[in-house]
Amino acid sequence: MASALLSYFSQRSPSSSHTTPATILSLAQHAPSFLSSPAAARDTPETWLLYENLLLVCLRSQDDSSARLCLQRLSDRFGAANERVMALAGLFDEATAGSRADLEAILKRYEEILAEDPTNTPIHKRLISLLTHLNYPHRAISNLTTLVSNNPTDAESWAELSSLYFQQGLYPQSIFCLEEIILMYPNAYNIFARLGEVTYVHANNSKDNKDPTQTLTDSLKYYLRSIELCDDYLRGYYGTLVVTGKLLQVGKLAAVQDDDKSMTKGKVEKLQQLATRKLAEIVRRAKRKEKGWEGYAEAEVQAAAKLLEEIQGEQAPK
Amino acid sequence: MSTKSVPFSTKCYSVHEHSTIAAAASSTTSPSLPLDIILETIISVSLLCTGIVLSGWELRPIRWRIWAGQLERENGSGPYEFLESKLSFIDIRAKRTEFSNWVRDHEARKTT
Repeated sequence: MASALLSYFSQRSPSSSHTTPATILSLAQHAPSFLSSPAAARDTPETWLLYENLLLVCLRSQDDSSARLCLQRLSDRFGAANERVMALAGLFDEATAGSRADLEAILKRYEEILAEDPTNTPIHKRLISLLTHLNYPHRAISNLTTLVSNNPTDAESWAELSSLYFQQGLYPQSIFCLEEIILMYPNAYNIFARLGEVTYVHANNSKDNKDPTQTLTDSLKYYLRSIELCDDYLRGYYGTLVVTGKLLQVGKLAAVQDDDKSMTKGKVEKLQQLATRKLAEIVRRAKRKEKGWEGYAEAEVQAAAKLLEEIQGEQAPK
Repeated sequence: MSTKSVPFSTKCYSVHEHSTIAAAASSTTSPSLPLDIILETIISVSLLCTGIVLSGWELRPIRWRIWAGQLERENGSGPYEFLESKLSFIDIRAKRTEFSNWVRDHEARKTT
């Protein structure tokens, strides 16, 4: 069963959106047998990575005794002063804390550790995560901006900063952070899709009555880039369909292209038709669970099917 | 592939035999390898290479969009999943609550 766990974790991270509670439960059920097996005693990097992922799974499924055992073994192997082990110990304490006062005490502990060693990045990240959980967004953002200015190549931190800005409604700042990630990972199609999402929300929430055409066009371009980078990308085609619909509804589109940045009405209509066709194909094949098309998340396929029905309903001759 | 390697190994043996004989003969003119040995070497090497290529390795896509599309379709998550899951910033208490809510709903659905 160690190989079953390993093969699962090699394919996806334990906190991906596809790791449903049902999956977590089935993985956590393997934990006690794995921990008492001889495979758990092997001193290879893969085993220790497995321990780390298993710790997360056990904490999520509230199997605290197995989690404590994983943590103990990691601590014995790498020492309690190891930065990653300290962060995992902090994670364990956060998960098992009883009250808000306990969490505030953990927060204080993180701050003391960072006062001694400001370069302890894993603890810095735990601090930011706990500040967000305890609803101190400003402190979280200011800590995170310090972190990214010290580690500008840490894409994960930029991603977290983008989420925090987005939650605060600071869409241009959120977009900037996502663009920083693109600089490091130019083929990250999911970040392009996220850029499309944030730009679309920005276009819909602009405070002044500014014409949203340019912002919607930018959103569309981000989505188009995401589908260029990944064939049959459900999220990309969904976004394209939504944005083209909005553009045709409220955008001021020229009939003829006057510069490189603008889109013509004809182009947007063609893109809408393409997105409808591709999304329908994806939904059809995913629902039939055809070979090679089983990976799509159920909820996403349902949402896409619903969108297609709505669009068909709008376009039906009255 | 094994059938291809047989003429190759016979070729190696022929070359070895020839060089041994040539050394033993110790003639003043140093003979170059006979033409049939050269031809046999070339033919057996090309047959060996063809055999390796055709032996049925599964070819995987090298274009990013095709490979990424394949991963998304089959696994649901691609190589950039870590950028959105942000494992180091995980809100573990929220995840635990989500899990316990799911268990409660699951149990409730089982009993009804």
